[in-house]
Amino acid sequence: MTSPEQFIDAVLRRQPLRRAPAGFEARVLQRLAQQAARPWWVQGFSRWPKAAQLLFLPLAIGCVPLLFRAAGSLSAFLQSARQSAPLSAAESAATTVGSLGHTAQTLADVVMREIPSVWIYGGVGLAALLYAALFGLCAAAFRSLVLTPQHAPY
Amino acid sequence: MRKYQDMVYSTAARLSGNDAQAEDIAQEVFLRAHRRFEELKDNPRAAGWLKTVATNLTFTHLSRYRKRWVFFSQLQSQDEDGDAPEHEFPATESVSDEVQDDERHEFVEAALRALPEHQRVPLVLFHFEEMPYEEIATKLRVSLPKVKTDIHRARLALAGILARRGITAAQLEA
Repeated sequence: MTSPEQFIDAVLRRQPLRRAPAGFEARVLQRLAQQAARPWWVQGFSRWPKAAQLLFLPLAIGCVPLLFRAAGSLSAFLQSARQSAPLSAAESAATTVGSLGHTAQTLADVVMREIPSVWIYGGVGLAALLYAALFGLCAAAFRSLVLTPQHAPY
Repeated sequence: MRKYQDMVYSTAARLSGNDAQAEDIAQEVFLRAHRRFEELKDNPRAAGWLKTVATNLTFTHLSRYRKRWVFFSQLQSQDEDGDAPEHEFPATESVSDEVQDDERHEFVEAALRALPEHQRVPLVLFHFEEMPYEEIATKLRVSLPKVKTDIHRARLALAGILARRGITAAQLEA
């Protein structure tokens, strides 16, 4: 007499591996070729070249004051142009955008001048900390509510 | 890849019970392995890594239905409180000894696919992946008694299907 456990174990132990479908290997290789053909900047940040990863953050941060300056310059240019000629709708819209940029730049200047730099850096640090905490909380909630423990990255 | 593709595909197919899904999962496993090729190429644990990733990705696929599955399987467990009686399978000569190995293997795979997911998954983890009950319970986030009950019921169901086809212990021993 054989128990169900022994019987099923014997049956399943005799099962050979399922054969992967014909063309499976070709499909995977094709997908790999497609992925390799994509330029690096289209791929995930983790697969960017190391140099690009290292340069990205300072460049991204450095762009912010440049954008403020560009917006301020645009605003000044449009104001001087308005004095010499009537505005079209497009120019008017551009003036509005420029004014907003100018205002933002002025605000940034005031903030930098009036608020001690320690407070600013402290605020930025606190914001980063809160962001990291929120990110961690969301990740923990996602893992415990949506995924089971074995789904954690290996 | 040739060396491991059947293993990866088998793991995904048996756990998911869906061949098309298994193919997608197996592909994803090899794409991930390719990203870690340097790490894995001479690693004796590459097979284990591939199997773990295949299992995890299959769970991710299954997790879409997981809550519903846990809910309904627990409702069912409450209705059928207690273990099903232990059946014995007589080791007598089968009427269908002529069933060829290949046919039997295909039939067993089909029978596995026919099992409800809450029975098939722990059964496959126990018998194919050789996971202990405790680890299965942790992985599936269900209680240990439930894992044991589900596996027991899966065995009975599978044995019943096989018996109707004439696949018996005696035939296996022959």
